[in-house]
Amino acid sequence: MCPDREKDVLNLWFNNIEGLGAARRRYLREIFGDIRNIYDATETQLRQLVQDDKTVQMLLKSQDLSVSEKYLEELTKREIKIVYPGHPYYPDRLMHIYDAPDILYVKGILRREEHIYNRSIGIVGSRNPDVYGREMASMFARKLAEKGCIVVSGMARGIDSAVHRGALEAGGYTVAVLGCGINVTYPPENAELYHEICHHGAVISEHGLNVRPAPGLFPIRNRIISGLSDGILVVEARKKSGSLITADCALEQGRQVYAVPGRAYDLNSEGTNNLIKQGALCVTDPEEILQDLNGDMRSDSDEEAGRKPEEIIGISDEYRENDNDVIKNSLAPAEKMVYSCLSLEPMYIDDIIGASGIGITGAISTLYSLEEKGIIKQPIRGYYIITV
Amino acid sequence: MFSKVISCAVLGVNGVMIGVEADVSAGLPMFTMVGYLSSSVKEAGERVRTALRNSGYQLPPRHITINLSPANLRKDGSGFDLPVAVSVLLAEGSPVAVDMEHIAVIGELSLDGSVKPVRGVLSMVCHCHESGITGCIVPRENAGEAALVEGMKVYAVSSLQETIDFIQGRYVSEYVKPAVSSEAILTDQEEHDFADIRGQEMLKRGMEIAAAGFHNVLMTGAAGAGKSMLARCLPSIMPELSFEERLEITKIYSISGLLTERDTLITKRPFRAPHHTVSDHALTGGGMIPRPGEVSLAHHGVLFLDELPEFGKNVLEVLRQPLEDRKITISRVNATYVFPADFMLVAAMNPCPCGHYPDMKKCTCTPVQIMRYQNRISGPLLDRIDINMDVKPIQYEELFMGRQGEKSSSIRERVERARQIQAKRFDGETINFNAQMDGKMLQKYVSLPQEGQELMEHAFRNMSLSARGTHRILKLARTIADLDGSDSIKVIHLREAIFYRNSGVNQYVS
Repeated sequence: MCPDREKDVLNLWFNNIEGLGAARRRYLREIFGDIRNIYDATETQLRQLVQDDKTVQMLLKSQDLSVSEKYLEELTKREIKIVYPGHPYYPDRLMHIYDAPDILYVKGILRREEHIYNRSIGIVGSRNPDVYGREMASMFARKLAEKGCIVVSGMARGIDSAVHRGALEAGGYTVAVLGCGINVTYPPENAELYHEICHHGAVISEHGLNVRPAPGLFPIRNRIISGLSDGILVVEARKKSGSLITADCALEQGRQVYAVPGRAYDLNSEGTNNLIKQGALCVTDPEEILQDLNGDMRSDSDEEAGRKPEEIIGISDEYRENDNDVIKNSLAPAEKMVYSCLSLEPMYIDDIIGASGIGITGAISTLYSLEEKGIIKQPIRGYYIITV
Repeated sequence: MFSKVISCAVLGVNGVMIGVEADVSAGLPMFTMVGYLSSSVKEAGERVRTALRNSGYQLPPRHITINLSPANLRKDGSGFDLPVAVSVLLAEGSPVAVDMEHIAVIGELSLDGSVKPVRGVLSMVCHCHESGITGCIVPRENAGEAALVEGMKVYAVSSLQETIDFIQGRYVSEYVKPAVSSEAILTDQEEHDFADIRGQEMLKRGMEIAAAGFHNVLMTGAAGAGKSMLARCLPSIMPELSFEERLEITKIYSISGLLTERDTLITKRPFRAPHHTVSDHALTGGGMIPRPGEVSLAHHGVLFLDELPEFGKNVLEVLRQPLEDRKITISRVNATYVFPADFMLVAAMNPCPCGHYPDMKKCTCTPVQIMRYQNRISGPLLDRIDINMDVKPIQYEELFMGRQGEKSSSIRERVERARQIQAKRFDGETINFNAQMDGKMLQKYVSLPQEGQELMEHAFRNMSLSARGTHRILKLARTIADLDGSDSIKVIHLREAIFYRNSGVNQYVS
């Protein structure tokens, strides 16, 4: 057995002992150091060193490594890799958090975080968002991915899905942290998204094969989302939202928390607005996140590398003047009129007809051409918004 | 002695000639009826005997045999009482003063000898006329519908005695056709008018297009937004019926027994709104001897299905074939029946169980619930709908301060103009409306400019349209161009057609 494989098997064994939780695992690690030592320890050694009788019983009951070997084969067959502290691909960012996962199952492309400026941003939010939240999530993910950021989220319904889709659209690298087994697609309608992420990013879970989604599992995976990120952006969250747990985790782990503002008294944005009141940075542009993150890093190594901070952060004039602006400036008068009626708030066709005053046929035709140009879209049939 | 009287039965919507033969001969006194009869026809014997006696005719104590030919066709209904009675009397040697070989007899008898109305008289009389019969004796209540057949002498009778008097030449009653003046049709008061609906301009426009080209419509929107109200206004802008169409509709209503003595001719387009608990047989037509269902009763008119997802899945799926073929075929052991079912489907549904989606602040449904609810309407059924519209709940300002909408009468004028263009186009074809074009006609009558072809190609790829979907967009665009009075389909017409088609944008959940 090659040493790497042996390590894999031992880690699988140690992390899948029935009844042995994270606390007991930490305790054993403190006593024995390496997992090898735990496995090799004789019954008398165990009884001498370990105070807890139950733990000893559990260890003695599962001394068969062939089960773990079979499990590893099964994982390899499904192209699932495992990483654990000490593994070359174990995310550096997780090394420094409390309660770091002892093992991670990964499907997809693993990347080593070679460059410190390869920023990683976690974006989370409501599972039942408004069109506004969805669009903002998608826009932030897209633009951050374009800048080379790693975009982390939880592949849940709503904002999370929009985030992954946005990052994939930009051809970026995105990481989905699941709250269920690594091979379980939850919610089921995201099956396609799951495969997309596997091909262009990575799906990560603390849990092995076939672990069913359970309510208790999701809040604890939030610590991994924030742990993998340099900052957490909360896009849309109600007053009591799971996303706020992620924000809490982020603060505990010393990560930045950003929030996209919503309207006052908007129930769907109550959570994010509260975050802003408590001191989260209010952001409306992805650039602001990058500036904030890179602001305190600049002194460390930029000057040594002899580069201007702008290059690294990527602020340039071209960015400001994007394709949409070019199109907007070349619109026909009727198109301009219709476009000026629209915002991120979905507007119903009747209202557009009324506001633009160019008649039904004209309005529909103009909307069609604007949609074709890609600067507006129909998130729900009959309702239009501008694209961001 | 032997005698034969001509009568008629209904098979589906068409008539079938039935010969009622009677033979009176020596033997044990008996009254036998043969000829593959259903029990309601068998009972005729008792009614005939009693009615004859109560009209003053004693049946001789001899062997009487009645045969209804052709003997291989199952006979149903009560219309054979009168011909059987007449035929028995003739077999006994009652004098005849009229040409009974060219007169059909239809009617049910009561025990006291009075003649009662029967179903399907119009279909029967039509068929008699086609078969070269020149006159018919019908119950007085049915005389109106029978008189609709041009060139037929209608003799209305109200009792057996009157019938015998007529045959013996003592009494002549030719039914005088009531004049259906064109004025009477125009003054038909529509209860609902588009002017009563505030706002909802896009919906009204959609309805106008639908009415002009006979396109199917689906409205999705929150409860109370005005979907049902709009649907109920639809008949007020539908184009007028031609006489042939009226006759077709009246035949169906005659078979179903829904005609009254006053309304002998249906002049308005039917509007049928079955409740969502309707069974599939009630919708398509059924029974051992099938009767027309709702789809046929809505022939040339509107079939309005409110709360579409609440209808049973099997009920909705049976709509597919009539939507495509414009008729419904029902097969039974005895025969295959074809009922016309050329209707315009207008459906309404809520977007989700609570009815508030896409207003996420009010909607309490989970994405899965919303998806499940919308998935209750199958793809193939959605594919047959040309005009998909989302209805937004109306705002207070619009409701109380908005201007009054356009009157139905002025919308109807535009619809009528579009229909005339279509009538000219389809002169010599079997269809009347753009939506009814098949692939061949589409090629013949619809051509796109270069720009339009590019647009369609783009839409085909982007919207992942089916072949049927593409055809339906073209038909819809043709109607929009007709409403516009334009000979060619322009890009704006196509864009509007695609806008209404657009059934794919609904899946933003998850």
